[in-house]
Amino acid sequence: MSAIAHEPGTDVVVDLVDAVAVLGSFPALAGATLSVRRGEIVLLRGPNGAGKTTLLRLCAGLVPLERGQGQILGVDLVRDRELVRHRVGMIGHNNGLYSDLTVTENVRFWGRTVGASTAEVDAALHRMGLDGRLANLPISRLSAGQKRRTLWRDWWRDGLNFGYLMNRMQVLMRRAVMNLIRFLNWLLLPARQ
Amino acid sequence: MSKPSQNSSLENSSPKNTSLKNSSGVIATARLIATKDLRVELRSRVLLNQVVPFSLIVMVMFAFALDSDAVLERVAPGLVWLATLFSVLIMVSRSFAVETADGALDQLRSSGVPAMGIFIGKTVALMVQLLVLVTLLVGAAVVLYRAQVSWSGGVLLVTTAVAATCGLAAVGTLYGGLAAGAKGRETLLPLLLLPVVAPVLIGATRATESAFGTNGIAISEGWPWLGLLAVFAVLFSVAGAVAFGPLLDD
Amino acid sequence: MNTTDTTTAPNSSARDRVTGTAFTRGLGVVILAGMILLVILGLFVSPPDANQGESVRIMYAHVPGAWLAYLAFVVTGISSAAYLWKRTRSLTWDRIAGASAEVGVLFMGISLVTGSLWGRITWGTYWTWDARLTTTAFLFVTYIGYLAVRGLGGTHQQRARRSAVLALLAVLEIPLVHFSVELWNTLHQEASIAGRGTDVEMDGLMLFTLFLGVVVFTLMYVWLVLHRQRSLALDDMLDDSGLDNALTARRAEAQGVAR
Repeated sequence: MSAIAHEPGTDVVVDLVDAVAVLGSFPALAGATLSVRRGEIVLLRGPNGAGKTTLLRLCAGLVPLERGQGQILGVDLVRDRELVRHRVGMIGHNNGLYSDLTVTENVRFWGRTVGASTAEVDAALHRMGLDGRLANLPISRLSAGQKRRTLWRDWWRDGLNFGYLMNRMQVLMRRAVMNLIRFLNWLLLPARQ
Repeated sequence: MSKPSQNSSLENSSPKNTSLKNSSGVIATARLIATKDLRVELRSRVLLNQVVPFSLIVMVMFAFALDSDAVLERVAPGLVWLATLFSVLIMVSRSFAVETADGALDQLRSSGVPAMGIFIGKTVALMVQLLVLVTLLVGAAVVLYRAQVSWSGGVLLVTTAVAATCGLAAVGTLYGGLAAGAKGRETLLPLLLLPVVAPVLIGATRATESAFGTNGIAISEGWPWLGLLAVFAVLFSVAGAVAFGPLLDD
Repeated sequence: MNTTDTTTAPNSSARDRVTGTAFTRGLGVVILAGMILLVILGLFVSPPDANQGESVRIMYAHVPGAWLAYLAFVVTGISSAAYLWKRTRSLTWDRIAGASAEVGVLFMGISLVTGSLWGRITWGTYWTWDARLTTTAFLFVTYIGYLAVRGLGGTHQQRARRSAVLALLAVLEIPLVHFSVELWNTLHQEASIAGRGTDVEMDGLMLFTLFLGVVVFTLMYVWLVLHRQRSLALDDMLDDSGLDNALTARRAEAQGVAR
């Protein structure tokens, strides 16, 4: 895998040294060393099976660190993996949505899990264009893309340090990637106010 | 579970006051999860459309197997609770299938809500659904097996149902959480759960026998069994609240 | 340290691939001698019972078996607690818990089968619903479930934590089951067959043989658990060295792609 950085800051928020992560008995990560500074946007590229998803899950505290060292936002991955979880949001292959509930109900639910007020949730829905026709549709009726938009509820969580880990680049062309980075900046900026 | 005070190494790391991470967060999380579970059930109607018919068919099958009105009337209490136990297995499976279907359980873990809150919320939701089920099954027993409930028996019956379903919901959620991420979980859950709920079966059946007045058993004899059910419910609710986090935390 | 905390290195000499030590060999000899003595005393020398005749001899296998089933249960519970408590956390406790459970299931099976046969010969029924027998049956099934959960996979620490919690829940469950069944039985006012041995009039030699049986079986339990615990440690070491090999292979794969 190779990583491309953009807009570096000063303090290190992801610090992995020779990290080994195991899925069952298979070493998905066989000694990853990665250092990411605050404000950086990192693109991980690699062939299928390279361990990209596992690396992200490791950084989100969902997968234990088998060997090596890791610190995410200052929290040690070996000792306090549970504490990492509150600080990191991850968007993975799954959407984490309840297919029987509507868009609004899902976003309200996940909003409440991080203590957002109804106003903040409604603002998030509006920002993502989900407050119109889609608002009262059950998730099962949404297209895949619409479901992904419902995922971006997290951006209004200010006051906490978050690393956003985008799992999958649908479009691999550089130009599209740069557009995405600009979009991410746009999303992240209001959260920092 | 979360201890925000230990994160001195993080700058600007104070969680919002309205977040669900402190002790009052357990109750708030529980309420959130319980309402979510019940809302999902209301929408999908799995309890109504699948579990209730299943348990009613089980009651009918018992009649075929036992083949005698007198016997059925005598064992009606036991049959009600047996059908309930079998239904608990599928209800617990369903409760966690909802979470694992789209990775919601992972999201819940990453969002940092207290696991105890998740446990309490899911237990309460399951208990409410079980109460609905038990009520319907008692009705079925009255219809199919000619069970009889008097008013004073009714009080005993209601308290028994509350205590028994509480214990069943707690144990079900606990072991369901264990089996949720595991391979071979469909067969693992019954194997783990049924031995544990035997005291509930014994206690609930005896108490219900008193409530129905089966074999002329007096209602007063049912209350000691309620004690057993209450002890079970309390012990496993506490154990579950404590153990659910470690079990979920893989 | 996240890896298996065994004190020997993965690729050490052939000596470490054997789970026997001087202590276990000595113990084994003592057990063998004890068993021979037990067989002689139990099957031949000790007198038959006045009421039950020769069939009382099953007692010499049944009672120790039942005692060990519960000892194994207690040991698994204690080691599980020891694993979960941070100060004493060590995978050795997890392996002891697992070994004790495996050996325990064996003795639970022996206890149930011998008890059932004894009942059949003496009282004509293979089974009775008394609290002790029923609880042993529940213990048996619960531990089968415990062993199934141990086999679920994942890292050693995940396995250890999951099984430890399960074992402690079993410690909560089994007394509850016993108590419920006992309460249930008082309803039926069955003739107390609770002490299957109590209606046997024990003379001195029978008592001694029974005591010898308990001691020999306990030593056998210890011997089995020691060996099994060590072989589990070797299994874990194998997993770890397997991991080392897999890591090497994975890194080679990465190099290959990079070029």
